[in-house]
Amino acid sequence: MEVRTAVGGARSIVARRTRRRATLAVAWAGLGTAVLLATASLVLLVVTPPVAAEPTLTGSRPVDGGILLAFLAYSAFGALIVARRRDNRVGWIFLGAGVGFQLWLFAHRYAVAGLVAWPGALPGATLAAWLTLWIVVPGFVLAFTFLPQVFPDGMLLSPRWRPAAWFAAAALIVWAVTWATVPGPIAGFPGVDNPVGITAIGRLDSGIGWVMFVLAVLASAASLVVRYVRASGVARRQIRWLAYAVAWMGLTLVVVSVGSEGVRAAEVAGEVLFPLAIAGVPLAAFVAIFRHDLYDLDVVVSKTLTFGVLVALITVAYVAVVATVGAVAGAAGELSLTLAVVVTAVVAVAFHPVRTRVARLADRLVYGSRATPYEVLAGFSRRLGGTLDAEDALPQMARIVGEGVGATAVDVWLVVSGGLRRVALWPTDPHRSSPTSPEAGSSPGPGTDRVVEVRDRGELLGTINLTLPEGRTLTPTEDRLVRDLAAHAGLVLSNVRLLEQLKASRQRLITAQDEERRRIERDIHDGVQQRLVTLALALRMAATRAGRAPPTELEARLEGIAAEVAETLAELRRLARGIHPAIVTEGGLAAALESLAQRAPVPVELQLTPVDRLRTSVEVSVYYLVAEALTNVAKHARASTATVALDRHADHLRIEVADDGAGGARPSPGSGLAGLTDRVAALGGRLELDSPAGGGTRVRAEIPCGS
Amino acid sequence: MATWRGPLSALIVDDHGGFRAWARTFLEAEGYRVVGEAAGGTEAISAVRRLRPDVVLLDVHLPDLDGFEVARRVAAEPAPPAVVLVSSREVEEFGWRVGATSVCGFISKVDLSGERLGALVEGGS
Repeated sequence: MEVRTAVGGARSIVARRTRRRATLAVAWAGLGTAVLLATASLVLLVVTPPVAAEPTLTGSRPVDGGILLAFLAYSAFGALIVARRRDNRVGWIFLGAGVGFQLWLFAHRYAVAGLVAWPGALPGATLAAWLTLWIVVPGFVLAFTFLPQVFPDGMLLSPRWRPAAWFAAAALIVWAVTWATVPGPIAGFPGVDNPVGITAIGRLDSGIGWVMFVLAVLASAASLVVRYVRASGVARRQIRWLAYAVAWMGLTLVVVSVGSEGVRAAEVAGEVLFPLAIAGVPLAAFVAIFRHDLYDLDVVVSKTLTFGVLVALITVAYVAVVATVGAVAGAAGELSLTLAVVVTAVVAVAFHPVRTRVARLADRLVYGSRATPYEVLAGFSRRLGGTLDAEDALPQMARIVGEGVGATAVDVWLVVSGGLRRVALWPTDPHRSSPTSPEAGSSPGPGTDRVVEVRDRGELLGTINLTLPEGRTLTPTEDRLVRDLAAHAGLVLSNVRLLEQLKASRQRLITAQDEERRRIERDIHDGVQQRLVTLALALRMAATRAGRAPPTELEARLEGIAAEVAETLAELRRLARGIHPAIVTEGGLAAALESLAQRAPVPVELQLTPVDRLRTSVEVSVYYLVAEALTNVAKHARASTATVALDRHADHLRIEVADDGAGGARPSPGSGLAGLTDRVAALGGRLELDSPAGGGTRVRAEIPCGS
Repeated sequence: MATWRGPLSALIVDDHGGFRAWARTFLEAEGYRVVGEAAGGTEAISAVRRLRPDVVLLDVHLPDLDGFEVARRVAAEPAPPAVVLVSSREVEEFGWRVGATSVCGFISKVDLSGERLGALVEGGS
């Protein structure tokens, strides 16, 4: 059973792949057809000699050429969307509408060439003229009714909207049939009769198809508005633009219809509004797709788009220049190849600055509020230059990364002692579920799509974790951008970490100070104070006994009290030394270390190179360091001897306390040694503990002591 | 407190042996019967149960439980003894805590005498 299932699964994968390939082939074939038709139309547009009263679609040849290129956008979008989302009807609608429009434009140019410019020279020119009557209808119905009905997911809003779809289909058929069968001369080609003119249908008002179309557009616009109202978040923003465009189209169609009834103002308004409305729909879809990441097409197309816009602009300009030059020269149809080449060259040079401007514009359009990758990096570096304040730099970094690649969330984690700590998040929503701290160097944690490590000279400093919109992955460009940002972030993170370490060290110093004070207070309370209490009690006892007891007893009592006072004094001295070792300041470091060695319970060998007097803070630290190390030797090491070595190398004082004991010492937090480490660090030095089990313990410190 | 049945029995609780010795000397010199000594809080509580003293001289600072806690637990015993806190610190250093504990009073160690102790026990009973 399992084997069969597996085979079935494999077969279905193969089938899916084959289907996918076939779909792609159809999509690219559609785009290819459209490009081919457009090229042929352009060639005809350029080579056809100007004729008096030439029929044009828009009133002038250059505008016809511009429209032609604009309609290419439909096919291009269509093919791209199909390539990404072959199940989504939006792509197919764009693709189909684009091919329809190109067919219409090509048929028109072909008919002009075959019927007006060179009568009788081209075969099938009459058929082409007939096609101009109605072949635009499918494109219009697809783009302005079906598209808004199924945008953006390719499905109707609900089954209840099915009648609207059927009505649009009916409008398509009625409109196409009534316009295709109008008897008599074909519009724009006087003297060419409609080969399929049917009087019976022709008697129908040819406006009925148009009216149905306008109604279908209005119904589709309504569907889109309802969809907009029900949507939320990004989906809403995606729909909004198309809703504007379709509403605009509906309004325009009403105006045009009124205009065709003879209202002059409406007619003029319609002439302005209609081209805008036609361009508006693909433009709106464009914005939805590129600004709001619909279908994940944005970066894929960035370069293609820049190139396409460039080509289109230059071609339009070229056609315009050629037409103007042609008209001025009056050399109808006699444009020489040399002139064409010169004009092209002039256009190419003149358009170079425009080219860069257009390139940036296209990038801006594509990236929207996210700047171009270069700008992201440059902006980040500039901000870094402005501030190295950790509080500012990290949230900014998170925001820049997030906006730069269109992530939904960004967390910045810093490697701190004992793991990772989140130091910044974007967006700064405290209620956002925080992904659990990922292990350093591991694959992304749950809820994170991409983890980029930040390293400084190979050392892992932290990570930048990205959460992307559902189903989206970073494109290679974005990935590179994140990695570049991470490289820049090394400086910030190492800076932040230094600050964190400094903060922690300060905290430890304060804690150690407090701890030290408490210890002194306890020592005073438990030691000297207790002794004084007993002394007071002893003196009172002696006083009460003074009159009654024999002198010898009194003498003994007072002797005892005197001894107690002497011991109390000794303890006070010991305490005072703990608070500040006066012997260091008065007798010098060597004398102080000697006294430490004398009091140590194990024999201590001193290897002291004579050094000049140093800063008190350094000398006192050395004294405490040796005292602590020797205390540890006495307490833990089970050593028989110890060595204290002190010498000065250039600007550094080197101290080593070694013993021959059990080793295996670990500085625990809050221990005397940990406190000394901070103390030494505060002086700019460092302290090392080397204590292999069974190999004795060595505490080494280097403290800068330059004047 | 129990009615007067000859000398009062006392328990001395302090972690300093020196002080315990002096306190014993003083209290015995002034007519108390010192029935035991304890160096820690838990030891003190079990000594109270075992020896049933009339008075407990209780140091505030003990190595395990502090004097206040010991006093609270001792007060929960059936027929609890009178407890007097002692410390080498002054009463002010403990703030509200002395007043909030069910003890007869507080004696600073330097002021310790059988007379003071007796006055507090009488007053607190």
